[in-house]
Amino acid sequence: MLKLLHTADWQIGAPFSHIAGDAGAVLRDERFAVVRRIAALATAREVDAVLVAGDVFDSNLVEMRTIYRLLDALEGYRGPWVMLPGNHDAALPESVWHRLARLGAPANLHVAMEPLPLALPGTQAVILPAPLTTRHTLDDLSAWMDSASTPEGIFRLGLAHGSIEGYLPDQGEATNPIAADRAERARLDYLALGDWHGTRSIDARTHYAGTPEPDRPKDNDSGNVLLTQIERPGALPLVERVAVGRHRWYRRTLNLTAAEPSAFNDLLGALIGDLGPVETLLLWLRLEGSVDLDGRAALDVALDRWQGRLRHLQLDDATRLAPSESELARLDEGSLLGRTAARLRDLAAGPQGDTATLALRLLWQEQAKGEA
Amino acid sequence: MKLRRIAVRHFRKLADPILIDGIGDGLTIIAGDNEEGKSTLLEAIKAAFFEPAGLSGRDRLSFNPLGRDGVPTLEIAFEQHNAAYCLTKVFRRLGTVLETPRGRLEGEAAEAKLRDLLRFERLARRSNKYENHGLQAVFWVDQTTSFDPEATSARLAVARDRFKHAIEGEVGGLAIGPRGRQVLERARARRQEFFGAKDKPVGDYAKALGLVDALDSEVKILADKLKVFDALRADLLARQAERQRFMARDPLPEARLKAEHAELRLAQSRTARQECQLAEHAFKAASAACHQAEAQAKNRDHLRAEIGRQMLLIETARAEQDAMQEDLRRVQREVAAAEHAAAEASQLLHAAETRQRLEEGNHRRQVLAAEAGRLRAVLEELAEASKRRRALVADLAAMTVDAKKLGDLRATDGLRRQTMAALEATATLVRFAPEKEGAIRIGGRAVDPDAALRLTEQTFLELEGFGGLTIMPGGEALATRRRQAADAALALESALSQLNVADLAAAERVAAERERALRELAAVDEGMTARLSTTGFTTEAMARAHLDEVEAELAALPQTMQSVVEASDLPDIDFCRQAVEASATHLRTVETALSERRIAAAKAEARLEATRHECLAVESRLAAEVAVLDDEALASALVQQRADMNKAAQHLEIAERRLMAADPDGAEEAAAMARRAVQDLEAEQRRLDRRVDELAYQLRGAGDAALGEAFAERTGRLELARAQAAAMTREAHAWRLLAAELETAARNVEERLVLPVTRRLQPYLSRLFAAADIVLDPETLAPLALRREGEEEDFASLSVGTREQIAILVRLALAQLLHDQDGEAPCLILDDALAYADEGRFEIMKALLQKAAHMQQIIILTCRPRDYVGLDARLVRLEECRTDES
Repeated sequence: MLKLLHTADWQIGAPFSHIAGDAGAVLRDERFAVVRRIAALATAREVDAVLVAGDVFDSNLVEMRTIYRLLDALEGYRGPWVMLPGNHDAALPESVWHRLARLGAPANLHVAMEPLPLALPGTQAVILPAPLTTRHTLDDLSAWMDSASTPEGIFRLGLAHGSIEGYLPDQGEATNPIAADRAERARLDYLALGDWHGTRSIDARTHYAGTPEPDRPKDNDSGNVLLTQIERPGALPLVERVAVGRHRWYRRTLNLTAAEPSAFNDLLGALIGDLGPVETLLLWLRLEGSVDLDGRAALDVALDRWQGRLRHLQLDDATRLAPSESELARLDEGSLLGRTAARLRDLAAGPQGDTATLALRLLWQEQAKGEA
Repeated sequence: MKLRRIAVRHFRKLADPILIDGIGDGLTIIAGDNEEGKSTLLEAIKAAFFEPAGLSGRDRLSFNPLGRDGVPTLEIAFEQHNAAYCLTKVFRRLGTVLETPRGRLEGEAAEAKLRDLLRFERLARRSNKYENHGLQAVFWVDQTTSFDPEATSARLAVARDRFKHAIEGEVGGLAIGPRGRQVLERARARRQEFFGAKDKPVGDYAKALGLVDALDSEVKILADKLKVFDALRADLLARQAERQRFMARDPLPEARLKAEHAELRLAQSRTARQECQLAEHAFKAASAACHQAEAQAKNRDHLRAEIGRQMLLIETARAEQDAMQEDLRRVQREVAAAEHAAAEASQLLHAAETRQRLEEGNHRRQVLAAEAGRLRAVLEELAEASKRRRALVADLAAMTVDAKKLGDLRATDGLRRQTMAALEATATLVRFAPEKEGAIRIGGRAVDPDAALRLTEQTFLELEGFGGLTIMPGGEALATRRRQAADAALALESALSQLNVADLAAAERVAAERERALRELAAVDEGMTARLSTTGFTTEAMARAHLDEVEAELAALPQTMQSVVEASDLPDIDFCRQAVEASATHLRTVETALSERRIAAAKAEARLEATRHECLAVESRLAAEVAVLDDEALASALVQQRADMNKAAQHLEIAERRLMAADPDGAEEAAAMARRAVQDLEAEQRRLDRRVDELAYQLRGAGDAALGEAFAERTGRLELARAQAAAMTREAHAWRLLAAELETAARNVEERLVLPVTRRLQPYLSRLFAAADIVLDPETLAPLALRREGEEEDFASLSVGTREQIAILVRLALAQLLHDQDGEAPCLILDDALAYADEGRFEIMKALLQKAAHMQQIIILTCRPRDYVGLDARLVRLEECRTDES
């Protein structure tokens, strides 16, 4: 029986510098932490090899420090690591793999730089890799697997990085294509794929492991590795999905039109509560609907609170400001503030509407301070 | 409020009681000289209304009358809203009494009623502070304060609430309000956090924008570097592919084989060339030996022919030499004949020349004798003239009076006559008229009694029958003139003595004689000069020396005139000369011919000798050659040499054919090409290897620079910075908009607040300034600036006169506002105002005050009542308001 751990799309060295504050640094570190977790899992499950189906690195031009940190993280598993150059770390001249080789890669690390059969040490398995030697190609680099000859009674394992043809119809002419029936045509016992960051099964023998640590607010079931067992050559593999990701990235929309300002905080709490622990949650929240001036102030307070609790809260504020009659009454029409508020409301309907709306909010906020 | 009666007693300068009664509604002029108490009167009015009767301390003491005892006592009757009041204030405890339409109030009740009526509070602790005067702080204007901007502003601030109330009564509840002002200030402060001068971003906002720019630049630089990296990698891939293609083709072995073949062919061609060169050398050697033998034989024939020719030449030369010797002898004979003829012609010529010289000597003697005669005659005439000249010079030496000395003498005589005339003119004329004849004597000498006497010195006259008479003419001048006359006479006498003449007439004669002698001397000199010039000499000595020379030459001439006659049969000298010339020419001709013959003979002899020598040399060479190799041996050797040469020529032809077949140039070129092809291919291979290595090295360096990670990191930061900058921009623009809108609204409120005042001010102002308006402080209503033609002039910067006029007009407008709102305007009191107004403005201000007086009571305190003549006003003279103590 052959036991494999299939993973992909580690994107080591991704900076996450577009995430403000400490969150970016935490996410950078988490890329290494998840590799350590994978190594520990592989050791615990006593797998015969770990197959990484491309995009190990975010870029071919990462810092040496990044390479060293990855090598440290790999130490948790002493069995063979088989890594495939993907589109982010393609086997181009002077790639990250060349630099890794010059550093002196550990003996249990095997990088499939060429489309040649690779005997998996200590097993009766041969890996047929389809490394990317350019970032993008319109050729199916896995085609050579069909004609690759291997001895009888040996596990034929495919390792490729790209898009299965026909599965993403809206993608147009996908680069790095892989035939959907490649496993069958190449008589593969298992085709380990990378590139799609979500976990996905194409058929019984063809699987995307997805990225083990989510890196974007997309509901694609990422954050897993696949533990695959194949009883014997030709047998159907048994694939187990194991969650190893720590952070969760979500994109949500909240309409506030019908809500009372006093309920804003609870509404946000309910939405966020469904998404699990807040300290590892990254939320892209779009706010819609209209709120009055007091509601806006309450919303700001609630958002401030949740912003502090979540790992990261990215707001897309599309709410409309609609002062209530009582609020307008409080701003005496004859007073300086009342007349200014009226003028800002007029401007809010014009070309500088956003600025005028925010100015109105600020006016309200300031006059409220005076009231307090 | 209107004041009706004012009584003051024991108050400061107004120690004596005064009473001003019957003050009317309109304009009242209260006139008084300086120090008479006008300002004290205003102080008394303010003290009556605003100071408590129980006032104590220094303020109270300041009210005491100057130089007199007595309690300050004030009484003012006034009206307010048509109600009559009378206030009596005696500055002692409970000294206030207020008569009101509703009864009499005393003490604190009266004071409280006053505060209520006049709506004032005692805010300041010290007295006479306008903070305590309510509305009247604005309208009761002290001397010299009406033009002070700060005082004006402060006084208006005291009454702000009253004016505000009046304005609000007109424009409704309109105010910025404390909260509005608070929010406005907050918005301004926040705006300043984002924007600086000229709306330029500052602080964190500027930093955020700057960070975006900086990151954008970094990302662009990294993108460029990545492009360079990609280009390098693309280049490397291309070079690797090129090298692979090169290696697959592998052209080097074939090129090297071709090069080896070419080198072999080249070696063969070089061997053929060497063989050909050897054959050529052999042929050249044989050919040279053959040619040498042929030349030797040919030379021997040539020498023999030369000897024959030389012998023939020697014979010919000998014959020619004999003919020349004969010709030479003939010419020698011709030369001897010519020499003889030339000697004869020369002798004849000598005789002819001797005769010619004798004839020329005779002619010269005649010429010299004539010259000597003429010179002697001239010299004798000159000797006579010289004698006459010496006599004249001697005469002239005796004549001492020349023209200059005569002139001096005439001047001396003239001076003498002048001094005498002057003496005569001052002489005392004495005429005698004796009644009877009697003698008159001077110094014993009788004087003619009929003749008048001219006395110039003291003279004693003896008058017979009378006695004596002493005449003392003239004075000191007469003595001087007498002395001058004596000096002049003495000088003349001395001059005559020196010139050795008796008198002036004698001197005149001597001078005339001297002139005549001088003229004669000049005539003699002129005659001698003319005579001498006929000799051609300038001096007599030169003429005499020439005469000596002529006589000497004459004496030297030979006395041989007879021999000339004896030689008269000789031929003409020219003929003799021609004969000598002809014989000399002929002699030179024959001598030249002889010389030529001799040279020709010598040359012929030399040629003959040379030919003989040459002939001997040729015979000697021929003999030497024959001695080495005789003619037979020479012919045999020549045959052998020709055979050897033919054989070598055949060998050479064969070698040349082989060389041509080997084509050494083509082989050389082919070998060079093959070598170059190998070198080029090797270089190409090295170049490809080197380029691939270089690119790999460069890529390795770039890879280690971690450009990709840095690019991703900067791109992420740029995205974040842009989002943050956009958020700040939204906030910044919102604060800016909010501040601007609040400022606009506040400005509108402020403009509306001052509108009721400016509207009332404008009719007054337009009289004073055409097309101008006043900018008022919306808070205090104090004038801030005068605006003319769009330009604002700060109130404080205006002239004192203009400030005072504007301040008074603002008060009139405010009074109008209060009148319109309240139905009554406050009384306006001006103490010595408009002192700085020019005449024109003063008249306008008078007219404006007159107009305002229809609406409010106006009291003007002035020391120049005549300035206000013509106004519809009551004039009150302070000195006429004094009353008795009782």
